[in-house]
Amino acid sequence: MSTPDYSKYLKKSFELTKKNKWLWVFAALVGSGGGFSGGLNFSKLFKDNNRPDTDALKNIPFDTEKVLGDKISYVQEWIHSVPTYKFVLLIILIILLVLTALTIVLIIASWGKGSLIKGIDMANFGEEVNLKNVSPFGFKYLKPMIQFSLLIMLAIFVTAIAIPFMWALIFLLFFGIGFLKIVWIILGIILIPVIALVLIFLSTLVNLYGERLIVLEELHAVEAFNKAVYLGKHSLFTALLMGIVNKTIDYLISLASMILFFITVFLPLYIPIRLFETNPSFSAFLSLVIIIAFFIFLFVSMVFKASLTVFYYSNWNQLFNDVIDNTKKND
Amino acid sequence: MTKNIQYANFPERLLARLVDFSIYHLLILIPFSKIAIINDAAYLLDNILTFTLYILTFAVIVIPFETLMVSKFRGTPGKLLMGLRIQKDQGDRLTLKEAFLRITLGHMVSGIFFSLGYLWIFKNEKRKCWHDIIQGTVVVKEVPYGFWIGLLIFFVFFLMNATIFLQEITGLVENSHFYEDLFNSFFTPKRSVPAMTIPGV
Repeated sequence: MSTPDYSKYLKKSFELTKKNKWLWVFAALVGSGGGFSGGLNFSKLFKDNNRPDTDALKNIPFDTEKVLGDKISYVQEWIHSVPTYKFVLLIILIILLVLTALTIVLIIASWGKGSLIKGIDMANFGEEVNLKNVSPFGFKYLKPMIQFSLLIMLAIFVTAIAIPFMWALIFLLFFGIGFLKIVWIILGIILIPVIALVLIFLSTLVNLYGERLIVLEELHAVEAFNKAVYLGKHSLFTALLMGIVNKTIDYLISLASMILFFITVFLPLYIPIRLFETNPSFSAFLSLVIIIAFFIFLFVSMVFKASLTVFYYSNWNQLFNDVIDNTKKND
Repeated sequence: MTKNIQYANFPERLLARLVDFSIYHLLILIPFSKIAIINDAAYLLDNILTFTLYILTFAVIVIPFETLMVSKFRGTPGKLLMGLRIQKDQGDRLTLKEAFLRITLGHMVSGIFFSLGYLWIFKNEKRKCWHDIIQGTVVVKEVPYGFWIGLLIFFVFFLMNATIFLQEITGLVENSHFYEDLFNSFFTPKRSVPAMTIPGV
């Protein structure tokens, strides 16, 4: 496939995102989505602060450790006195709750993706886009979208098990030959991350094409999977470039938003902290203003993130349409 | 002759939800009192485990329960007590699948962007939230004084919640020495371990 005009994609996506604000609602349900559809990720800002202080744990005084040890053994005794059926029930309930939560998340994301892809397509053809006329498509493609997501998950799971298994099997074959064993370990260390990266790229690409094949070409989940693999093979380079363009924009915007967060919310925190001893009431008032500013920032970033998702999805939709046109011409 | 349909407004729907929450809250608060009145460590652990099992069971059945209520009776307990009914635009009942999607996906749609979808009720002529728009549903009034009935019911449940909550707080305060001892025995290091005396030695 010839290299597409990415600037045309970006320009059209920008116009479409700006004009069709209802699409932001569907995009907010999809979220950042990971892979090539990514967006702002505020959780990253706080990620490292949540780590437990392992050094503090190491410095627990000996006496405390002794006392805790006594209590832990007391709790252990209590655990042994509890009837087994209660723990079985506890595990069953937790599994049920997790499964329910996963099902709901899958339904919401699949509905959001189906509606968003169709909505962008309708907007591309100049049709009016709103909640009422786009959401029925989300329900229409909900089942195949869920099936497709499960298929992708299964494929990733099988591959993630199969590769280390194959590696281990070959390792066992070299068991008697020391030199080959070392070579195989070194190869594994180098190759497994590379293979994992390639597989992540391929599964993301199959996912991106597959979802669009279900919604725009009305294929079933398995058909969409097979055709997505075929399309992926024939447009690897163009898709890779599209992914790089999207990710670059994503990282630049993430960086800008972090700087903005630092200037508008984090930096002003210094003032009430400084004023706390001399003027506590004014400090409390300022803290309140900063908390309100934080929530406003949160809201704006949520909306902005959703609009970015529409932008990325629109880019992929355009690339997909060009790939499909090209394939049809070649066939 | 066409029936004059009255659509539920924002305060009515909010109050119906508050009645729902006050019922659910009461169902959680009552078993919690078994923990608050305890002043024995072994019983405390037992009751915490039982309470955890109860909460998890509650969390697992709440969605199927609401789904069934919306599909079979056209509303959650709060809505039914206030004479509000959920129905399709044409007046039909929601199927089980539609009711499930309303409770899960629908409320997620209205809840995003700081619950902007719920405030859409002020803008829509049929007083629809975003979750009503995506599923083609409306909430209609079947009882003229539903709001006042709802307010009374909410007040009763609020009082029950408040009474039990205060009893639990009192129970916790009365057992404060027990909790203090329990906390200290777990987290305060003992500098000197008293010598163990064995009778007859």
